[in-house]
Formats: sequence, C-alpha cells, structure tokens
Amino acid sequence: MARDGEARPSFPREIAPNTFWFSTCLPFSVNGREVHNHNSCFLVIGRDRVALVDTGLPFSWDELKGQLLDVLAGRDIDYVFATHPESPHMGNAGPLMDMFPQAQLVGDLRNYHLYYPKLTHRFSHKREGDVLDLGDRQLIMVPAAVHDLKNTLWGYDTLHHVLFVSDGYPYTHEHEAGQCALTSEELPYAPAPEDTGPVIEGALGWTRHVDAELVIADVLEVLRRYPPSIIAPAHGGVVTNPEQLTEVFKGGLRRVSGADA
Amino acid sequence: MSRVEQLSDNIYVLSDLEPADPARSWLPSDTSGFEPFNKYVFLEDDCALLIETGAAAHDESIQESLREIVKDRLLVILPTRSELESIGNMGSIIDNFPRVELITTTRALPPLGLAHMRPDRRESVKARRIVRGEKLAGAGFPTLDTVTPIIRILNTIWIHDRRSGILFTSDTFSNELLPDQETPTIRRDSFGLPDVAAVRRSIIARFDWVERARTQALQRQWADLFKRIKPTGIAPSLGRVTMGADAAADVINLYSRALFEFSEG
Repeated sequence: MARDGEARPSFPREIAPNTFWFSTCLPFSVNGREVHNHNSCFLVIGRDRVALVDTGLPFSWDELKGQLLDVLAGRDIDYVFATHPESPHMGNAGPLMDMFPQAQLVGDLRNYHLYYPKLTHRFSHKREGDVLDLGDRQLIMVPAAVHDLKNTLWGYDTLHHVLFVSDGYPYTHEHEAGQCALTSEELPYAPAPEDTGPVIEGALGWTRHVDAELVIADVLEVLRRYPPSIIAPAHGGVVTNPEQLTEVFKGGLRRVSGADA
Repeated sequence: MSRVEQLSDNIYVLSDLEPADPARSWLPSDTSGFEPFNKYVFLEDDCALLIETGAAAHDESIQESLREIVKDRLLVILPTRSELESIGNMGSIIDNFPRVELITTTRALPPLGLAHMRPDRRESVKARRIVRGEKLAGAGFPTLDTVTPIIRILNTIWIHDRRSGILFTSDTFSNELLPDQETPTIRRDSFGLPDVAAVRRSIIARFDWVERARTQALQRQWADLFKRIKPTGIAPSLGRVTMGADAAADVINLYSRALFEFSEG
C-alpha cells in the first residue's frame, strides 16, 4: 500500500516490461465529493511491433497523444485494438489511425464499416484465439467473459501474462484524486465488492438479471486458459493481485445479481 | 438524403438503409432485407430535438436532411446511449450546425468529451447532462419525459412524448427489418408482423444476456411501464417504426411474449 510522503505514481506507468498504462482519468462529483474514474488504455511494445489496447476518451486526446509519443520514442503503433465500439474504448481510434498511417485497426470489427467507412482497407478482423505477433511477445484475442456489447474481445500478453479485460474488474472506477495510477495493492484500502458497483450496475446492468455463478464460471474459465500475473481493466486500477481481486469481482457480481427480484 | 417520413405533425424519422448483413453483431444469422438506421427530429417553434446522430457512414445524408427540416431553429442533440449508432455524427453535427446544444445521460463523462470536434466548438457549445426520469421541459421540449428502459445494454434512456404518445426506445423494439428498400420505415398496422420465434432470435442476437436471464423482475417492470404508458407509436433507433395505438399494443405484446413466454422447446 502507498505510504504518506512517498511520491505517487503517475501516468504513463510501466506495469510490466514494455507494457504501459495510460488513463484519461476524469474528475467528477458524487454527493459533493470529488472522485475520479478510469478510462484506461495500454501500450504493449514488442520487439517488432507495437499494439495499443483500447484508445481512451476523446476529451483528453491531446494529453494522451503527448504521453503516447513520449513512450513510443519514435516508434509507431502497428495495431490499434479497440476492445469494443463504445466511446471510452474506441473514441480515439480515428485520430490514432490518422497519426499512424501504417497502423491496422484490429478487433471484432463486424460493424466498424459503419463507424469508420474510410478506413475499411486498414481493418484486420479478429476472433477469439487469433494472435497479434509483436516479435518477442504475442497478444492473443480472448473471449470477453464479461461484456456490455457482444462484439467485445479481451487480450492476453503471452510474455508477461497481462490480461486486458476491458469492462471487467471495474473495482476503482470511482477513486480519490491522487489514487489514479495506483495498483490494487498500492491503494490505501482493500478493494471491496461494492467498489465495483458504479460499472457493474451501469454498463453491466444486465448482471442484475443473470445468475452470478454463470458469469463467474465464464470468468474462471478465461483465467484457467489465460492465467494472469497482472489484470489490466479499462475502468479500474491495474490489478497486481489477481486472485484477491477476482474474489472482489465475484463478490461484486453476486452483490447485484437478483437485486431486483 | 436520408429517407424522411413523418410520424406526427412535428416529428420526423430520418432513415438510412443498410442491407441486412448476418455478420452484423446484433443481427441473427437468418436475417435478410434492409435495416433502417433511424434518427428522430422533434420540432418546436424555435428549437428542434435530434434523437440519435446516426452512424458515421450516413453523415452526409443525415446532415443534408437535417438542414432541410431544422432550418434556422436551435438544434438540440440527445443521443440515447454512447454506442456508435447514437453518437457517430455528434462531432460533425456540432461542428457544422451554428446553433446547437447537447444533452447526454452520461454520469461522469463531460458530454462534449464523447466525440471529437473542433476545439472552438468544444469550448463554446452549451452542453449538459440529464438523469433518467428527468423531463425535457427545461431544454425547450415541454411534452418530453425520459423513461428508464427495461431492456438495455449500455446506459440508455427512452423518451416519451406525452403529446403524440410516441415512445422512443433506442435499441429495444429494433428487431423488424424491411423486406425491400421500397417498404416504408413506418408501419401503421399489425399486418405482417414477424412471428414470436423470429423476434426472440433477434432479441437474443442483440441482447445476448437475455438468453440466460431470470425474467421475473424484468416482466414486472415491463408490465408496470406499459400500464403507466400506452404508446401510440414505438420509435426505435434501428428497425421499423410502428404508429397507431392498436399496432403499438400488438408490438408490445409480441415483444412481451418473445421476452417472457417463449421457449425454444
């Protein structure tokens, strides 16, 4: 856990070798209290190629662009992987594709010709199990065990075992100022199931109506097939203790399941 | 130009048709025909509400049609959710319409932060959030109420017009396509409605969670809503629009059966 007086980590943050966390973190007010929420994206730098997982929100594009260029240090992004077509996840895909004219847009792109009609020649459609070869590491397309839009994919880095889970594991979507770049083990409190509420009850509102154990079984199956050392959600801090936070996520799913019954 | 049809004296639907592609993530594998992508324009004397901005592929046709209908009124944009059929042209419309405002239902996100637009527009255009249940009288539309959807994926609102009785339902009730490009987007009777099995397949294709859902609570909420509201029209963001109280009641009954009563067995 972070101690008083220590320098707080900030973005961009290297969460594993050549794996960087960016977040268009957004302050807003809840009952008069200022909280922030994560809208994160992740740069995965391989020996030969570079992938960006999710793209952040348009409102902070200028800030994100500068941070990306600093970390890239002259290299290009080869793959822009939007986990699904919603503004926090693909909102900057357009300017990214403009900035990196050799880049391919990758993911479950079944509807994207309607969203980016001028970029169809740069689409690379992916399905579960497909692989992006970055040279010394691969990014595997993983079934999104928990999703809002059904054309969502998660990603798995084979070298450092980072699992990119998009809307999954959303335990600190509302966090205090100064906690933005803290991992799950650095927070000054132990995350609890109710911390998942803002996303699970909002973007994942359907979980109220589905038996949580069915969803949890899907999550555990993904974890079995793609065992993570680190879990990288778009709407929560990076998870460095996957086993403990999986229990929190499971608790969050159980908490809302059947709440309306 | 988008195809323009009139729902009532002051409400228009702008439809852009796309061939029904089974590869589209929300359509079932046995789909055929044409899918209308709908945007609605609600006119008052001095202002116009645009419900949905449409997909980027339809940007030019939408803007051309909008200009003809809206004329010099203030244009207020209201996307029902942050999916790309709803916000796909938000930036370009804000950039191109001189008198424009934005309303969203985002909880934390700054409304103008959902899309890219010119910096001067981001700084000058008036924008605000509303919450589900809020009325739109303050935005210049005294007959419009927001409604909490029963079936949804993302954070979504429905809108009910107390004057015309039309319920704007975002991505719900969006499952009937057109057999050909000549068929109007608006159906005004119940003739030829799809059967309950086809509607069920189509619902599951979009709302995949429904297949595993415990539906008792949803059914109760559904019944409560349609006891309180008796729509005279059902206006989804995709698919055919239904007008007429009897036809709307038949459509609601069809969806109710598909959601809560239908069994594959």
